[in-house]
Amino acid sequence: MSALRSLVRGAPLAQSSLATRAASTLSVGSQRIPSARTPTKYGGVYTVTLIPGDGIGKEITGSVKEVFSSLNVPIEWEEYNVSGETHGSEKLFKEAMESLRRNKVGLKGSMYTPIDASAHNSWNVALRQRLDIYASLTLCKSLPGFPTRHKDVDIVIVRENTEGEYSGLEHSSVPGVVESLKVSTRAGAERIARFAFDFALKNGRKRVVCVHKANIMKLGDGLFLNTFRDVAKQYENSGITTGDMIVDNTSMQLVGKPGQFDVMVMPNLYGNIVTNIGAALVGGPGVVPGANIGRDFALYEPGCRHVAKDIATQNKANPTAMLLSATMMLRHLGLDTQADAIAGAVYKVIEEGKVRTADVGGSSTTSDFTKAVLDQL
Amino acid sequence: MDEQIVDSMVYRLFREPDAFDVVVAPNLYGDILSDAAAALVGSLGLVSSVNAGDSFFMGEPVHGSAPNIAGQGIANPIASIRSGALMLEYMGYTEPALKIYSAVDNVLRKANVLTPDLGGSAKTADVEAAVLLELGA
Repeated sequence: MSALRSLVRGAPLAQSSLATRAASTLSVGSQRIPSARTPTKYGGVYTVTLIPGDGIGKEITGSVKEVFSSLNVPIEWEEYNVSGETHGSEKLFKEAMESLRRNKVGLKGSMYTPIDASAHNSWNVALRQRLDIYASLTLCKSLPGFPTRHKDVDIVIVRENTEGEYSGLEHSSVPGVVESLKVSTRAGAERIARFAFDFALKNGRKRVVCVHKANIMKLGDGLFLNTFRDVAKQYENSGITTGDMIVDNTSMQLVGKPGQFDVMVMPNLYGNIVTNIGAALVGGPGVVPGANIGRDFALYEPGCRHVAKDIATQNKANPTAMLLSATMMLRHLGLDTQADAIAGAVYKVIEEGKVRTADVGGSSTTSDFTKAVLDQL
Repeated sequence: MDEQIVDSMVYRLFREPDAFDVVVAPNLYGDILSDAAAALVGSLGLVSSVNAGDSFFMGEPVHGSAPNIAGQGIANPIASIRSGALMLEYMGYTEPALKIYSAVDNVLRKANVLTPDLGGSAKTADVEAAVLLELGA
C-alpha cells in the first residue's frame, strides 16, 4: 500500500498522518485512513460521486445533500441513480464507476441484488472488486443518550472486501449439487491485516483480533490466520495486543460481552455477519457509519448495508448512518471543521432523544431528523 | 414460512428474537446463528442440541469444553441433561424425555440451586441432585 502523494490544484490536502485520534472523542465520525488518495478538487470544490442506491437510499442521501448545502460544504455531487431493480441500469452503473474512477471519492447507498441466479451479480460487490476497494470499515459505537442492552460498545470491524466467499465462482457439475469456490490469497490477507494494524495505530486502538474458522477451513482460513499472525509480528513493539477467535464463538461473545472487542479483522463473509451483529448491538443499521477504502479510492456508505425496501419512500428511514459516513468522507477530504460540526449535531440530536426515527423506537420521520440536525447547526 | 438473508437474520435475531420460531440454515450459517442465539438466553450452560440423522442421534450441549472452569465442579449440567433428553425424544422415548424437561424447568423456576454462570453458587452435583429430586417427587 504505497502512499500516493501528488499535488492537486489548490491547497495541499490537510492530512496529518501522525495525528492519532482518541476513539472516545465526540468526533468519532471518522478515523484517519492510512494512505493518501488525492480526490478531484477544482476551484476549491471537491467533486464527489453519489450513488443513492435502491430502497431508502434516495431519502437518506437526500438528507446528506440538505445538510451539506446548508453548511455550504465545498462539494459538488455527480449523481448516478443506479438501481439493481430495473433492467438496463447496467450502462448507468458503468458510468457511475467511471465517475468514481475520476473523482476517487464517493458516497453510496445499497443497490438491490435479486436472488434469482440468472439475474446480475451484486453491483455493490462489483464496485468494490473492480475498483479494488479492499477494506470495509464499520464503526459500531454506543450512542450517548441511546441506551441499548450493552453499554460502552466501541468496535471497529475491518472486513476484507474483495475475495473470499464473494468470489462469485460457482458451478454445478451434477444437477442438484453445487460447488462454490472461496478464494483466499496471501496478498489479500496481508493487506487487510496491515490495514487493520495501521488503523489501530493511527487511531489509538489497543487490540486487534482476527476472526476466522481455520479449524474447519484449514487451508483457506488457515492462510488468512497465519498471514495475520505474520503481520502481527511486525507490529510487536507498537503496544497493540493481538489475538484470534473462531467466528461462532465470536458471535456468541459479541452477543454476550461485546465490551471485550476493539478492532476486529476478518474475511468477507464473516465480516458481513459480524457487522450486522455489531449494528444490532448499538441500535441497528440506521446508526452505524462505514467506509470502503482501497489504495486509490474511498467509497463511503453506511456500515451495515441494507436496501430496506419495506420502508422505502415512507420518509421513515434513519439518516444517521449515512450522515455519519458522509462526515467520515469530509474528514478524508480534509474538511474537518464541517465534519466535526455535522457529526456533533447528529450526536446532539440523538442524545437529546426528542427526535427518533422508527428503527430506534421513535416515530419521527427522516425529514424531522434532518431538520433537527439543521437546527443544531 | 419466510426467508431471510443471513446478515439481516443475525441483526433481527438480536433485536427481536421472539419473532422467530423454527430456523433452518446451511452448515456455516447455522453454526454462527446457533451460537449467537445461545448467548441470548442467558447462559450457554442451558442450551442443548441434538445431531439427528436417519438412524443415529447424538445429543450435544452447545457449549464447548470450557477448559477454564474444568475440574472445579461448577459447570452447569443442564445443557447436557437436556441434550440427553433430546436424544431420548428422537429415539422415541418421549415420556421420559418430557419428565426430564419438566424436572429441569422446575429446578430453574425455583431458582435456588443455580451454578455460577446463572448467578448462583451451587455446584454441578447440587444441580444434579435437585433434578433427581424433582424426578423422584
